[in-house]
Amino acid sequence: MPSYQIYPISDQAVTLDFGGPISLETNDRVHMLLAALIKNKLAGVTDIIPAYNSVTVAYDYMTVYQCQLKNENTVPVYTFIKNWIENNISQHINDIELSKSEIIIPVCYDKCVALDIESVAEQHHICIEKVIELHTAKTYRVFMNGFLPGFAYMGIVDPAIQTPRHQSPRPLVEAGSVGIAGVQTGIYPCNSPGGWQIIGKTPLALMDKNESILLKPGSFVKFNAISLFEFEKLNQQ
Amino acid sequence: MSIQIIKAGILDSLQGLPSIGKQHQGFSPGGSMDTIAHAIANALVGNKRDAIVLEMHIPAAEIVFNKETLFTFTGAATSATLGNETVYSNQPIIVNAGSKLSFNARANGARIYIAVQGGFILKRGKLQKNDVLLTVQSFDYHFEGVGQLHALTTGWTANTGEFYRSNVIRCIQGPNFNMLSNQEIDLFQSKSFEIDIQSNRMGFRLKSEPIQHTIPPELLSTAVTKGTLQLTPSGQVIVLMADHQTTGGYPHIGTVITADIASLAQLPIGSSFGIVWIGIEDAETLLLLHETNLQQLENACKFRLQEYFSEK
Repeated sequence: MPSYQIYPISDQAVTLDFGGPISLETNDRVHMLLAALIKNKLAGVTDIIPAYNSVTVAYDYMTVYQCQLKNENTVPVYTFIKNWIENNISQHINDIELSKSEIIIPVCYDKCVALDIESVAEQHHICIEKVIELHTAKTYRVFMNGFLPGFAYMGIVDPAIQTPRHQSPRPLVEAGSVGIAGVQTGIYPCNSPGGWQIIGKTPLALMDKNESILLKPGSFVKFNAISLFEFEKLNQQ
Repeated sequence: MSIQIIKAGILDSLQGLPSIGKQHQGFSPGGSMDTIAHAIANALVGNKRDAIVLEMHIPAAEIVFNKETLFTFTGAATSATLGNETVYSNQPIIVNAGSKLSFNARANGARIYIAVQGGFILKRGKLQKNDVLLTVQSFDYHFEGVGQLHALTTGWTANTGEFYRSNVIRCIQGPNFNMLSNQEIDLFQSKSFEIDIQSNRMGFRLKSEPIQHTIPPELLSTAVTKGTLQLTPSGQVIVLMADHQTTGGYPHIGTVITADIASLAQLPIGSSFGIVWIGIEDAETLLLLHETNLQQLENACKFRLQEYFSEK
């Protein structure tokens, strides 16, 4: 039995789903498969989208049809793409080595920008300093991007500070706000409505003028606590 | 060449085809809601399919042409007023500098597309009154001082009927289809879905009797596409459209087939339709048929334009 499910999510996209809860091991498989698919690229594939435990291949039907199948009109394009993904799993995924490079993100945990840090600390019966210590202690994996351009879903947050998202989202969370939601932590790349518990803010821009993003899927991230003074100094640059 | 918005419509924007290659970074593909009307508009003025067009909702903007050009409109409007004349959709039209184009509120769909020779230069966001839209210079066809307004190739109109249907939208079943109760599976295809007022380029909320379903398993976010049917906890269906987020965590019960996306994109707020399930192989057959017909129409447009301008 294969340890995954594979199915069409549209007539131009196929998802391979490894199943299970959020885990670094499964997400490693996701990024190994992603790397294998990019390496052994196929004409007509338009997007390869990693998520926590799945990889979705979106394709242009006509290009795949014309390049691969025009003369052997027997296999649906869906089956052809499915076979291509499965071949990469069985033959190429184990050749992949994932990069371990780390991005350091300065974060100010001062109450005036960390709107929820006090209540997070209270809910877990710990002091604010402990929240900061636990949030900065770990190296996080960027599991995937989604929600907004450049929004990185990262984890896994220490169980001692895991906090569910707000019942109803705030109408405005400012760009750079660092939040937690259950096992996940993330940074809002732009002003947006949002329901995550805001425990800090970074002065770094997560996306530049050319729409190049800082936190790409598969990267590793570590947070470095800075003072409000440093935050304001960096923010002005 | 440029055109100017002299009166803004409810939502006018410049659109290309959906962009590719950046969904893994959270960038929505965007692009024209109705890519068929987009493609036909471009073909009628001799542009490549991916040239930028003006997408307008209804009520639409009023525009003025700052220089003579070749233009067309497709999609929801069947006619428009150009100066004092009535002009019709799906025809190439030569227009003089200074001509004003306006649409009346009656429409046969939800979105109008305007293409001009060369295509527009992309400018993001909602267009405002007085915005000037520049076009890419084109040397394909030459004309000047046409003297009076007239439609090119009188009597020839691109027939777009075969690309649209209004009552039934065909879908394939999604990974969480089995969340529907047995009774719901029996009833689903006889239900009526109405496009709610809270619908936009990101997605359409569909009003219907609540969909009976089992409690969803703990779902992690995965990629979604244009046409994805999401089931909300209250049992309502949302269908994702051009500006959709790239991933979603709601149960995914089905997906509108590519061949029917344009039809869905042209259903106005308040209109109703039914959903039928088809298999992936049938969806592929219909996609291939649509695309083949579209390419034939594009070739016919090209041929007509060349014929017209070689006689000049």
